[in-house]
Amino acid sequence: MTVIVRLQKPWFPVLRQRPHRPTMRRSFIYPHRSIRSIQAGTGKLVLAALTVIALTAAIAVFQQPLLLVHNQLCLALLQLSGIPITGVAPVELFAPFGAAPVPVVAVQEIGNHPLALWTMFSAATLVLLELHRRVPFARSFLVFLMTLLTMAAGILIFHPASQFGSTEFAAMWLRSELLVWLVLPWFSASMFVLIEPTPLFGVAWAILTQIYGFAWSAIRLAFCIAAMHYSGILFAPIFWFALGFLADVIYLVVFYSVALQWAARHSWGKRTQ
Amino acid sequence: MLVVILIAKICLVFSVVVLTLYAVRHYVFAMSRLFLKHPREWMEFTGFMLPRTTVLVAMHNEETVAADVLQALVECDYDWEKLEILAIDDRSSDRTGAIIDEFAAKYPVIKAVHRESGEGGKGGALQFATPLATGEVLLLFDADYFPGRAMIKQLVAPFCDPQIGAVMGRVVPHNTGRTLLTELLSMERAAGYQVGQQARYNMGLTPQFGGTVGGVRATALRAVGGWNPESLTEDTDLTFRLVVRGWKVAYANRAECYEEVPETWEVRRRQIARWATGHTDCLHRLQSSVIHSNALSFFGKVDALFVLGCYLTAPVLVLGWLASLVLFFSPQAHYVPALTIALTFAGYQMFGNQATFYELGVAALLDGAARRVLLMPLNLFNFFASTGAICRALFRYYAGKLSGSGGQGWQKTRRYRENGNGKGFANGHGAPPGLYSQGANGIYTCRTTHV
Amino acid sequence: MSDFIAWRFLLFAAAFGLLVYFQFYLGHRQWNRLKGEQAGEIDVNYVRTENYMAQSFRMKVKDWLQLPVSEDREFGPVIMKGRERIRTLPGMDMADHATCDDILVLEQNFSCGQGCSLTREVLVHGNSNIGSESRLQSMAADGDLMLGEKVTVARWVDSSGELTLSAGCHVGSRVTSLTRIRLAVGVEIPSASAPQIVTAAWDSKLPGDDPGPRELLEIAFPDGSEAVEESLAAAKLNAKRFVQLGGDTWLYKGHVRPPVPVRLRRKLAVAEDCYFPGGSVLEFDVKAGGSIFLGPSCVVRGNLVADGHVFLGPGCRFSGLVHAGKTLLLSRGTRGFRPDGMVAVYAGEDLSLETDVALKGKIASGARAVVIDAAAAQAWRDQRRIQDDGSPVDQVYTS
Repeated sequence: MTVIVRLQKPWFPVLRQRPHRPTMRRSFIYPHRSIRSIQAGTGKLVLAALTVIALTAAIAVFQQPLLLVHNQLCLALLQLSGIPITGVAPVELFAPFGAAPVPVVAVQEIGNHPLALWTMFSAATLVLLELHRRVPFARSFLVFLMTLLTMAAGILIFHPASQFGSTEFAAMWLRSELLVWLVLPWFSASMFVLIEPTPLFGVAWAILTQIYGFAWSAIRLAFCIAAMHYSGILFAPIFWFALGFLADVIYLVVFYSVALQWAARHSWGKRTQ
Repeated sequence: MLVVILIAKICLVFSVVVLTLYAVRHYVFAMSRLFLKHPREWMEFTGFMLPRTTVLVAMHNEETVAADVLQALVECDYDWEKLEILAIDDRSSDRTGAIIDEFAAKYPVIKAVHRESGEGGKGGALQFATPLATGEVLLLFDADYFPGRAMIKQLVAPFCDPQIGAVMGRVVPHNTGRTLLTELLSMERAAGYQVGQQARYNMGLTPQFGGTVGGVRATALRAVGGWNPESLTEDTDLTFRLVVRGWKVAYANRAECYEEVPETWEVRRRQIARWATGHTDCLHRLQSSVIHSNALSFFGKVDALFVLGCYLTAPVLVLGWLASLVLFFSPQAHYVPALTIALTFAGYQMFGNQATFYELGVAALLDGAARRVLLMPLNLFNFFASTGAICRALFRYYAGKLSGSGGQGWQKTRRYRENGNGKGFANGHGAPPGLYSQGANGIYTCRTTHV
Repeated sequence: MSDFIAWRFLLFAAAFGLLVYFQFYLGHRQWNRLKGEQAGEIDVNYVRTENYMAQSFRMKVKDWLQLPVSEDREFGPVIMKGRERIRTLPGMDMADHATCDDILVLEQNFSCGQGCSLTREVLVHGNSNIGSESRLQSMAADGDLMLGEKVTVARWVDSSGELTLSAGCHVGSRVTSLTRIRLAVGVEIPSASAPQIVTAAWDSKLPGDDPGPRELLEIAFPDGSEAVEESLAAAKLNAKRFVQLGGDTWLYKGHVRPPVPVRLRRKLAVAEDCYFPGGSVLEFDVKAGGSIFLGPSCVVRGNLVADGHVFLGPGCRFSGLVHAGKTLLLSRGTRGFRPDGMVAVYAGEDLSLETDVALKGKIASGARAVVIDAAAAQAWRDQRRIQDDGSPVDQVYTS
């Protein structure tokens, strides 16, 4: 038997909640992961370019106030941690950027105190060796730290004139961090703005990364200077290589991973994950 | 002292240049993979290209995994009239030979090949067995792999192109949740295949034939002189011998196969040491052929050299670190940031095994691996471990070359599971009975359930 | 003044250590969550089937029909699957512009008038006839299925009988049939698979036996002899540009543009473009780094692969696979058949078929497969600067 269906619209206005009319189901199917790609439309490209320009310009234009705030944050943390601050000194960064204020802290000339030097070196080495024994997956990283430590000790023993103070360390730090802040927008534009399904989320994340990088730099510098106050330059290479650049890459990777987690959840639909 | 500083600067600049070139290359790969469509897509031909195929599985003391891989191959949906499986017992001292014989007795598609003596690891076994192969296409699987039912059809599809000499599929670790290392390696593999291999293929460069989950055309193999049993990485060796002659290598991203990755750092270090030594040895043997090849474009040659030299980035990075360390204590510290930061962004980003962290991320994004991607920062430790292992291996390699004492010998990667324990991944009973029927053309169609 | 015991610094160091750990906290926490999980990324039981979606739907319907039946005031007996209704009916005839938002299972025939909208899947055990300008989600028919003009299907269509797509139909996903698919001019689909795929004005003829020996210039491959060199010169090929890749495969570094029809008895990879005059016979696989253009009535017994465009002139016959990295045009009268298997045609971009094209197997594209008329085919050729016979505009063949 055939059923004939005739549907008619009601002739009177219906004063009730309009029934939900379903639309076509899944008009777009996300392709298999082997052939996926994402679109970088003109809008996204323009937004990415604007992000780069805006962030880079902000750093360039406001670099003096930024460096001032950076220094103030650093000073505050040093004071909270009980480190006596001798003063604030300007240091030359790069020619176009002028001078930046940095805290001046008395640094232990540990090269002239062999007992203290050997005590700290031995203690640190023992800690690293113990970690090397207990944590297999971090062994190579610990060897890297031990190399830095040994090199510093060697310099202190054989070339004590190489010792430097907090001002020089802070100058090196700020020079490198300033370059990091200038490179970050380029990375953020391509890795956040272009990749995120919601470009504005990418822009917000780029700004957040920049702010975090700035604040985290001040905190790390404060710690490094505070530690140098007690240990001289024995741990300075570790601070420079591990807490400096490596830490920059780490936080960048963390922000990148979080951004990607959000993007991966929202890019392909639930059934494709 | 000035001389030391000068040498340190030269070393640092050299490191920065090399690593920046690699960084740019990986960035281009990541971006091209992310935003561009594939120009070559073979998967629509799955089931339409059905050449006579020989599957070679070389096994040396693989009693814990042999039955699984053979069972999986038997359950592949390829027409047995066009298929043979050569299960190679390579001088095994355990029950591998007996297991192979049992399968050969039960399934006519499997032929047992016993190698009682000879040199060389896997390359030697393949060299021994290949003359017995009757297929136009030779597919290779390692014993610890789980080929899916469609795997053979997916891998042979690109061979419709007469210029394709070899095809590589994608390997996916299955033991990801066992240790932190396996999760990290899973991300690395994803980056290497989903991004690196696919990007190179899309851009007309050379994806690497990996020696497993891949295939080679029999005529192409004969044309380049067969397998090289002396190479620790016979797959890399074959890849570039093929391309310098004019053959092409295809990458089939859809042909995904489970593999087992090292679960401990010690096993991982041995594995990567073998790869580093083998790759670098290939570089020294094949670089001249690559440079003088008429078959490769300029960028093809450049990329080939980058691939062959990729493990040298580890000692280059260490050289850069040491140079930075010297400069750190010198009055030249003003220059240190600019160069060291370049070194950092170029070198430290090598978080994966020759895959940068943005490649890891792009791969995770394309895979939809939202949960795994958060592990990326932990890859820092894998990165340092890999760098250390590679440097030690290359030191031994070059020391061996200088002293003439020979290099690292073949070492089998340890297996972690036993037959049948991979039940979640082995084919087991396959698809529900009655659903699929295979036509004379080899294409499966679903039978209608309407009676 | 610094503390005697640097307790404030130690507190700062501890806090700093926590901040450093915080960088790894998310990773550490995620590792704890993932520990012990097995990978489930790959379906090892996956087997590629061309009509998978339709058959998967049929299987699901079988399961759904086991669910309890409830009584609906408006529709009578229905099965509720979540918020969706499944209705089982003997047959159905929908009037013009009618809509239906239910999953339908029809024991007999189904038809709908013009402009209807079916937003959910329909399984028809009999024949199905869809009126023009209607919109469907998906449909599986065990009999014949006819889609009227300008019908839009969001996803797939499948039939066990003959499946006809009238002019202007658009299908969003695969079109499959166990019998025959007929495509009218203006149809746009991503892929189709059937024992016969035919376009409008097909003359109902399958390719017969080989038309017989032809007078063709046989392309010989360099062996150092003068005779071979002369033969190659006749084909306008330079012996020095040949490289033997393997026993049966050669590479030619340049264009291949023989002025007369040729027979090729080896696998050939060409670095640039290939133009084979009408009547040529390619016994084995041919690959071009550029494009491949075949003149009328060429016979291809191997596979054709091009990184660029592929053009098969009128009346060409092929019995292998055809792969174009960019666009592909099958001219009128093209036939793709193989007695012991199926052929497949794929274009990375648009795949165009003229009228009177027939093949046994599959067509697929990275963008769309579209049936075009003679004018559009001419525009295709003009854009790629080739003439009707596949020869480049800037070259005239002399017999």
